[in-house]
Parts: sequence; structure tokens; C-alpha cells
Amino acid sequence: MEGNLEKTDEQVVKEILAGRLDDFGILVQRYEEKLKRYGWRFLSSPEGIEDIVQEVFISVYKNLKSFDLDKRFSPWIYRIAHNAYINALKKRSRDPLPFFDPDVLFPHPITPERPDRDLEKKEVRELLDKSLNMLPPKYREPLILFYLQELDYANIAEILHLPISTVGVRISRGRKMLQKNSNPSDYKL
Amino acid sequence: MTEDKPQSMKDKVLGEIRSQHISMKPKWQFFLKSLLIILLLSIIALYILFHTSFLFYSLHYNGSLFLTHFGVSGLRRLILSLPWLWLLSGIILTILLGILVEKQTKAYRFPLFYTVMSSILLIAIISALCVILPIQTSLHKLNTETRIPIIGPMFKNLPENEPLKTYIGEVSELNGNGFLLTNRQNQTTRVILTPETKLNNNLKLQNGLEIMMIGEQKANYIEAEGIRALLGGFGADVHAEIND
Repeated sequence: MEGNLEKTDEQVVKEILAGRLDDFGILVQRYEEKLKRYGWRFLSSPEGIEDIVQEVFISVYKNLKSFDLDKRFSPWIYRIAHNAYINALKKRSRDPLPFFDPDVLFPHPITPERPDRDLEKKEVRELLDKSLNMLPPKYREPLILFYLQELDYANIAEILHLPISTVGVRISRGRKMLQKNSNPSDYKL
Repeated sequence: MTEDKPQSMKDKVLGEIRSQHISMKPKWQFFLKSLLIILLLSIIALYILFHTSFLFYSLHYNGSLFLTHFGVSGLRRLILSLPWLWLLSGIILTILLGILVEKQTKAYRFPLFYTVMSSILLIAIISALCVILPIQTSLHKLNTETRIPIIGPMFKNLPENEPLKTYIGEVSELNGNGFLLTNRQNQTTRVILTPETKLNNNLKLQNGLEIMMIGEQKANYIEAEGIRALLGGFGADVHAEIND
């Protein structure tokens, strides 16, 4: 199993489907911490996260035959985790999550990704640590996936089932909200 | 005394797998689910298609579409005579279809507005084609010979949907200041022409000519406001074909 650590996720899935069921442990090792971090941030609490992540892995295993081996595994497992976290959020939240979001209705100009601005990323990560809970879940989640899980817009769009332009808009608005909340006097658009 | 080491998540999940407490769902289940979703979406799309093409067909059949040739007055009558409930339910169903497509397919990549507008446009085009081809005319004709279940009564009620103060029929006799108009039910009405009557495309009235007319019903005659020939027009032979 050690040699499998160099294999891609998709290759590992292929081997599990071929009958090497123990290789599922490799996927658990690779994604356990990432999914826990994503869940803690998104749900704003580590409470029950262990059970939710375990349920995610069980769901991944049960549905593994529906995974398209020509696609990337990472957005697929994050999508399952996203659904699990949304369900957990619905159970915990007093305010129901909105059924319909006007953001997805109309086209938005695509906000470009800015992967080279490391300083800005570091600043936003610090802001996320301080005041992520103040943001509504719809802005919180793309910020976590972009700044903390370091996924690109295309993957985030696939995980959240949103147009890429909407992902860009939410990240941009979320970032501005964070900056405004952390230091209203210095806030500049 | 040994202290129990907490089980790692990997061990817990692998334990569940090894003990066969959990198992992978067979591929056919996912295939069946996709098939059912496609089937459901197709049924809804087909119903909407029939719904919308029937709407176009009813407007075409009762002559409402020709009202646009009579200027503002015709347009006003067209708006008043539109089956708004039918139209609105068609639009609502199409929006629902757009939302379902967005949720069940990769259409989420596009803004919902695009998906819904594309659905509306596509359905409008295919529905218009169903009338032009003419699929609805054939269904209507078939329904006069053999009653089609479910949709049959819809065709039966079609003639009652004639637009307000609009008359379709054949010029059966010309006289001094007008003519006699014989409608599809073989009822004859006297029509009076006035200097204000608009004759579309300098229409020359003659016996046997199929026309559509808007006008005001008086005591025992109709005062014509506008007349247009049906011959050679968009699907002008529909009535003849259905009544054959």
C-alpha cells in the first residue's frame, strides 16, 4: 500500500473498483484533514465534524461506482462533503438557508483569479481566521475553498454547482466583507 | 494494563468495509437513476411542447394570428383574446423545466437566466414548427376521425376560442354595400362595408373567398372594420383540411 501513495487519486479509485478495497484507506488518509478543516470553517465549529467526515467517506465508498474515472476525484469528494455540510448546517441553523439565490440568476462579468498575489492571500487567510463566522454561508464556503483549500475557480464551481462567474463574484464580495468587518475605518473598495 | 488507543478514521472506515457493513452500490442503480431523470425531464419537456404548440395552433386556427394585420385595433383584440391562463401556465412550466435541468445536469455552469431563456426560446421554436409542419393539424384531423384520449377534448373545444369580434368564413354572396358571410358552422351573416373598412392589401372581394374579418356586431348585421383574405396565408387551408 505504501507504493500507492505516489498514485493519483483516480488511479487509486481504479484499483479499489478492481477489488483492492483496502486502498480506500489511502483516500481517507489523503482527504481526512482537508475535509475536517473545510468542515470546521464552514460550520464554524468542530463539534460533530469527525462523524460528518466519516459519513462523507462512507458515502464516497458507497457511490464510488458512479465516479467517472475520466474526471478528477478531488471536486467529486468535495461535492459530497459540501452536501453533507449543507445538511448539517440546515440542522444546526435557526435561520433556514435560502432556497433560491438571485446570484445564480443573471450572468456576471468574470472576476479574474489572482493567484500571484501571495501577500493578499496571506492577509485574507488571517482575516478568515478572525472573522469568517460573520459571513453568510454562501460567501464563507467559496472563500474557504479558494484561500484555505487552495482550489481554483473551476473546481469550486464544480463543487458548489455554480457558474464560474458567480464563484468569482462571491469570492470578491466575501473578501470585501471580511476587510470591512475587520477594519471599517481602513476599508477601501 | 494497556490503554486503548483511539481508532483512526481510516481504521474505522476500513473496518466497516471489511465487515461488509457498507458496500458499493451497483452501477445499474446509478444508470437507472440517470435514466429516470432523463425520462422525467423528457416527459415534462414533451408536455410543455404540446401545451405551447397547441396554444400557437389555437391562435392560428381561430385566426387570432391574423389580427396583427389590422393595426392597433387588431393588436388590441389579439391581446384581449389571448388565452392568458394557458400562456402563463406554459411559461411557469418552462421555468420549472429550466430549474430542473439546471439542478440535474451540468447546466449549472451557466446562469439560470440563460438556461430558462434558452428553454423558452427552444420550446417556442419547436412549437411553431409543430404548427407549420403541421403536426397539430394532423392531430386535429385524426381527432375528428378517432377520439384521441386526453388531448381529444382540447381539440373539440377549439372553435369556441374565437377571438373577440373576429369572424372567419367564406364570402357567399356580394351585394350593394356588403356581402353575406358563411362561417364554418354554415351560418350566414350579413356584412356591411363602410368607408372606414380597411381591406388588407387592397383585397378584392369575390364569391367563395375565405376571409378573416374584425367588426362590430349590430342588430342583424356586422359592420366590418377590417378584412383580410385567408387564402395563401399562413396555414390558410387548415379549416378546409380539418373539415374535409
